[in-house]
Amino acid sequence: MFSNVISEADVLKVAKLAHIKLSPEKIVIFAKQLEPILEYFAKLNQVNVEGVVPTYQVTGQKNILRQDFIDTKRMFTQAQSLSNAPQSKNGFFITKSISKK
Amino acid sequence: MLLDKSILELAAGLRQDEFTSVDLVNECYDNIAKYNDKINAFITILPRETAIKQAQSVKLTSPLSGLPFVIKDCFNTSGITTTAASHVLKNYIAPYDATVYKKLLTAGAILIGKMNMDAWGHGGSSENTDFGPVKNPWDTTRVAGGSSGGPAAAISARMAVFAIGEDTGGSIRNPAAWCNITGLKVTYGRVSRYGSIAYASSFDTVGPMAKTAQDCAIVLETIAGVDPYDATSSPISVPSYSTLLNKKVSDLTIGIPDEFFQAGLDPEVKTAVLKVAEDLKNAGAKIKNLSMPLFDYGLAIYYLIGPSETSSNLARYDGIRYGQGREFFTDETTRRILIGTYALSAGYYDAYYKKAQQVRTLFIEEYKKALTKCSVLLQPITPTQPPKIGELMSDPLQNFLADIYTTSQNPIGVPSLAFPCGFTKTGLPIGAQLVGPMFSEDLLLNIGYQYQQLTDNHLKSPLSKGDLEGLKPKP
Amino acid sequence: MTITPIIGLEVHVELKTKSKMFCGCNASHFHVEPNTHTCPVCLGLPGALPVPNQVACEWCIKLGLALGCTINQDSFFERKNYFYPDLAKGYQITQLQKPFAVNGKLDVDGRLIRINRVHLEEDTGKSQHVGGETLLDFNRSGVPLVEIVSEPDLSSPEEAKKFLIKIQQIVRYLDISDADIEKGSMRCEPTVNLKIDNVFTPLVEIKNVASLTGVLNAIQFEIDRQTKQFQEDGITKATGEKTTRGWDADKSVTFLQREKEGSADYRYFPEPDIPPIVFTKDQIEAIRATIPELPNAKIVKYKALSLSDYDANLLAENLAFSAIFEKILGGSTNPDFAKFITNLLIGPLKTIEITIDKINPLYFQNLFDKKSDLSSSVIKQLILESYQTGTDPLVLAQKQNLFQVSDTGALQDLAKKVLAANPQAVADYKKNPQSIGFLIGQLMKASGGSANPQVVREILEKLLK
Repeated sequence: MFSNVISEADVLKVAKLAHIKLSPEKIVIFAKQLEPILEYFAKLNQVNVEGVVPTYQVTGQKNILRQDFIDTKRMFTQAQSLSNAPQSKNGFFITKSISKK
Repeated sequence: MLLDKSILELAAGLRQDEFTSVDLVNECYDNIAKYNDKINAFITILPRETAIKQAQSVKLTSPLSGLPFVIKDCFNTSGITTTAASHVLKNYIAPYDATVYKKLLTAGAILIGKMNMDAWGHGGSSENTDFGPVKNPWDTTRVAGGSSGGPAAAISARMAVFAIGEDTGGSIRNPAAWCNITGLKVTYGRVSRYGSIAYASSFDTVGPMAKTAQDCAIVLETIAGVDPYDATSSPISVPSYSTLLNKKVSDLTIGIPDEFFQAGLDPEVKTAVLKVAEDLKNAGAKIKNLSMPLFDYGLAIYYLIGPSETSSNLARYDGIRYGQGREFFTDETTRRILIGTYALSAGYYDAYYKKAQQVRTLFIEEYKKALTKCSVLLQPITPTQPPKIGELMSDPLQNFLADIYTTSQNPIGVPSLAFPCGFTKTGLPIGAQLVGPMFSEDLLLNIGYQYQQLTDNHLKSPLSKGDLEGLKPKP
Repeated sequence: MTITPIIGLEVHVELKTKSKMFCGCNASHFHVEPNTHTCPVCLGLPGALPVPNQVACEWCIKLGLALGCTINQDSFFERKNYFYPDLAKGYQITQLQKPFAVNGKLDVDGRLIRINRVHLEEDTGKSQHVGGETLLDFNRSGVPLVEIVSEPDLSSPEEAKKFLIKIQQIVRYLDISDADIEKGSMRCEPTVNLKIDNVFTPLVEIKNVASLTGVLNAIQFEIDRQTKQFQEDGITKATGEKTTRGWDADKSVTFLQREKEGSADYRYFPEPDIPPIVFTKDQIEAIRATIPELPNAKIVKYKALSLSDYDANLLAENLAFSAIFEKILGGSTNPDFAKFITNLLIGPLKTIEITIDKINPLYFQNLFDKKSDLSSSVIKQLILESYQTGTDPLVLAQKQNLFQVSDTGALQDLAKKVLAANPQAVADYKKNPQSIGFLIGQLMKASGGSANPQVVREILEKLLK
């Protein structure tokens, strides 16, 4: 059974997990908009899934592996790696420092 | 108009010197100049001079050689801006090629545009875009459908010979229906996803969009096949689809799942779609009504699993290695990320995500069972006629419910062919879809081709009067 | 107060495959220009897709087998979702529910330490914090890592260090990684708490431990710190909570990095882009067949040859040493011969680069047979020369006239001369028989170092009676 009500606190928590900054107004709006959608998901409670194995992939394939060799065709030069970087220095991407992980 | 011709006719014409590839390119760019402002199908129009140069030097080695095409802007095309219709990737210049794009270049096709779409694939109307909505060529106050709205509108308005779209929950089929063109959602894994900006990894498919099933068959032959860069791509050999279109439909049974034709389906749409069964019956096919009781749950499993996967796929957009920051996501995209993050989060995973994947298993069984009773399933594509611009965006729940007929096929992986099957009283296109077992593209394209020999909806174009007036069908 | 440390270790080993875990980029990243070993996949570009490296999978299984694990024939990858600038995709592809290997054990000096899992994942890029900026290099992004997680069975810092050394040895024996802690190809995070009488202190995970000594010191510091802290606040462990502390090697302290948190919400889900992996029993056995005899087994074997703990451990330290030792030993079970070889190898093994092909076991046997005729220092010198020149050491000994003088007659005369020349030493001996060493030394010198020391002693003792 899952709770169908999504509170503003939930939205804030989830937005943080998703690294999305939301204004207080947006949090209120999204909570309102998401609620009927989450309620819709309650439909699935009507389905008996006891003993049913989840399907994560539909290919039915297994063991799609690559040999251990260096694929020079696909490797970038430093310039290519950095070609879309908003900021770079001495071959590195740069970002403002944040707290350690 | 040259662009009214089929791919086979164009290929023959080029080889017989009736016209040149340059002529085709020019006609496309003339139509773009005339109509794109009203339709807004393109995000990036490639320089005309470049296309002409390619057309001048092209070698006619494949049926697609020398033919101008467009591609949804979610495919990486080296050296060309690739945005997925989001300002997050406004300045992203792809440093590599999507496999499907590479294959088309090798075949000598000429890219002329990166097309407008719902950002990241998130939508069914091409309004969730940072580049302005795509307008329906049949009525520019209405949506073209989505998320591959740009490609569909471009084919419809004769701006390109064929297009490559991407379908995760109806994104090829929906705009095909509303723009009156033919589009193929392939079996999951039939065409490589490498280089296609991911929406939902276990749903996304890459497929052809063109005027006819035969055109789609020719494009599919070129783009299908296993790719060592995509571990989900299928090693099953690629049939010569274009040579398999001639079987008559008299051996076939068309299944009609009752639950797909209940309340909530526009009566004109219902009539037009069911008429497909009649037309095929007249050609010798059998019809069988059957039940698919899980129909009601398809939308829920799609909208739980899809956003979950997308919330993860979009985590790479942090503005450090490329692109801009996450504050540029639209509201619709943000909502999907939030739903997905929520469904995967601790305490909710079992009830939402895992449960959806379990119902998915049951759905796979249900489709398998239904397809033992018939050769293919006939289903509507959209519950309504093309809405006015702004209608769907104003109501997230309505927007969500609009995908009801096209969201069960992707979680299963089965292919579906979308094709024109009629018009509303007011001249708006209606489409139908035929869904088959895994890797039955040959069957679907065969039936589509046969159907298109018996009907002419697919031949109609919004340009018939020369300035985009909708075509009113004869009473 | 009875204090029992409870220590678990999480070890990451960087595999030395040629290419990365999910793409064909060159996996080497040490002293490489930044961002030159990247591609759409490991740079996390839009539209890129992962394809797993077969060798990395096999090596993970190989390590799992070497650690006594059960191999999951059906295995799959999952996404661990979190944000950090050096995590290109915003998720790490790793394993959770079905890792390649589970439930192993490792004998550390007679104590069986349980291994919870051995699984495969990808590494992140490297971040360097300079000024207010972070510099990012993605050469390391996507390099294969094997993660080994022990149960909290370790009971002391020393035991933890020994466990690590053993893991390092095994990994090197399997030739799947350099496992160099200083270079970062082996990393370790201890988790420490204490059982104090009947309660438990809160769990602390220690990061940034960059050497074996660091492991020792960091764990010891934590034990002491937690003891003090408990005495102050009496706070006990809360389920699912873990604090992260960093080790500062310069100040020799751990410092708080992250406040107590529940397990972070990584929203794991099975990786949709990668089909599951199935290894058959035959394939797993084929991998097992490539595992050489491992250090612990070798140590047991060497101790059965009466080698000391120290010597047995040294020879088993790496595959090269043990191979050299075993080549020379041949099939011999003679403990004296084993000891003889060991004494000759101990020094050179650590100081010279020895090519096993240049070793001729026969030469060692020859010297062993003639060991009573040569002094030990001469033997050491001969074997070295023989290795360098490829000549039979006995031939060298003959040429250089090194055979020990055991001829007692000649020695007697020399002995008498030595005693006459050293009256003070003789007097000292009469007072203290232990001081005979000096006279033995003198006689050895007089005989050119070639006298048999045992014989020398006997002669002197007789004369001095």
